[in-house]
Amino acid sequence: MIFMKKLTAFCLPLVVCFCWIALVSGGNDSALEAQMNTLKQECKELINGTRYEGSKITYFNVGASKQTKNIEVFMFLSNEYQFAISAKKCSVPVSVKVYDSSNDMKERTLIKEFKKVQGKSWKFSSNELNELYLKKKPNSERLKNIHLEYSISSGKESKEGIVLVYGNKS
Amino acid sequence: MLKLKHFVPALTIGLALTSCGDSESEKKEKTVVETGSDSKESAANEYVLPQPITLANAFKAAGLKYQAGKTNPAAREGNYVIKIDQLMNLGVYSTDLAYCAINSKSQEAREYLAVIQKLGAKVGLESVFSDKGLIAEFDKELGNPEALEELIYEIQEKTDVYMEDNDLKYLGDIQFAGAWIEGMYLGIDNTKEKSEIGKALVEQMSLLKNIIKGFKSHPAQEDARLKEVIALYEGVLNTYESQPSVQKVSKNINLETPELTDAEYQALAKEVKKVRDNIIKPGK
Repeated sequence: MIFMKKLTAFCLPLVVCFCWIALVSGGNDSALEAQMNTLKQECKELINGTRYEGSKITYFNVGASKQTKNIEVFMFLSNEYQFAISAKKCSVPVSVKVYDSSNDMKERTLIKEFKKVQGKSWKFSSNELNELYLKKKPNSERLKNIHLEYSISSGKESKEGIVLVYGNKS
Repeated sequence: MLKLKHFVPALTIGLALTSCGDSESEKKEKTVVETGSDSKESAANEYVLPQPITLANAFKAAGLKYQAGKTNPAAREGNYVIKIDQLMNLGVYSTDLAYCAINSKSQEAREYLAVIQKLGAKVGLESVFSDKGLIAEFDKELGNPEALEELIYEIQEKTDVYMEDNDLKYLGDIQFAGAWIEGMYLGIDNTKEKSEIGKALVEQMSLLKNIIKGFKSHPAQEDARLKEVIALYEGVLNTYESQPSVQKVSKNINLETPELTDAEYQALAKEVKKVRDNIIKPGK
């Protein structure tokens, strides 16, 4: 009986601790997700008037090392595509590079770079990318896919994210 | 009354255990590969797959004409009992819906929308497709192909958002695999006479590696049906990549699109039909 009492007395705070920790850590993730969803909405508004093609929320842990994240997107239609990116939830310097192929290819062409975009949301279009690309690769027709590379600097540990939304104009 | 002497060790154990979990997940997140002298790169390369209606529109822009009887009959919907088959055929029907809508086959499109609603409910997407107003809105726009297209984009956006919000992206990838194979199947028969369609087809082959990646991100990797389907899609990729016309050009589709010979097209067409048949008639 005494043993049971002691066991309960020990286990109960343990359970309370687990619940509290789960709530706090899960709560942080949920709060971040909610913020990212708000930014996604903001991105959609930035490219209002396009037909939704896709989106991607990229999460990452800022830490002691620099890191990059790559996203491939496709543009099979000859229509204009518009891209909206939000790096508002980034506390460290971030740049976004647009390439014509993946990072495992021996040679790839940098089409455009957006520097120091942390804290910002902005949009760009396939028309300007195509114009730049045709100057660099005059024999190509138009871009059918692009590879976005997010370069995220090191910094104080935190979980952050970048939102991408894109659509095409009918 | 809880005693402090119990609370402190409990808190210590609790924190220790949960922090062990954190470091494990952080290890996964921070798996990095050196790629340069001063930068580190996450091992994860991500992708955003286009909408099935975009693929159908790309074929249409290349000159693909509607052919009656090529789509998967709506009546087969009840044959899909395994979740993977339901998801894949949800994708197949999404392409069929788009194919009919953009070719002004509104009644057929309406039929496919109803099937998509049924299959969508079976795979857990009730909240996306349970909207009874959807069919009504569709009916209202039956004579207006452009408005139908917009509506299809909206439905696909809702599905996409739901899957992302509920960490179900891997389901979306499987659905897309079905949509893609149906699009390829609808496009491939016409390639003999239309070089632009052939080009669109080859361009859309660039999605296949990501489709296979999507399959491999599914948690049930030991599932026999999933393994079978992965092997089939890998068969298409191997057939394509082994073609001399593909091997001799750059893998960068922005620079060069391989021009397949007739024999190469036939080999690819055979593989696509084999996979499509397996998806729409599972177990046969």
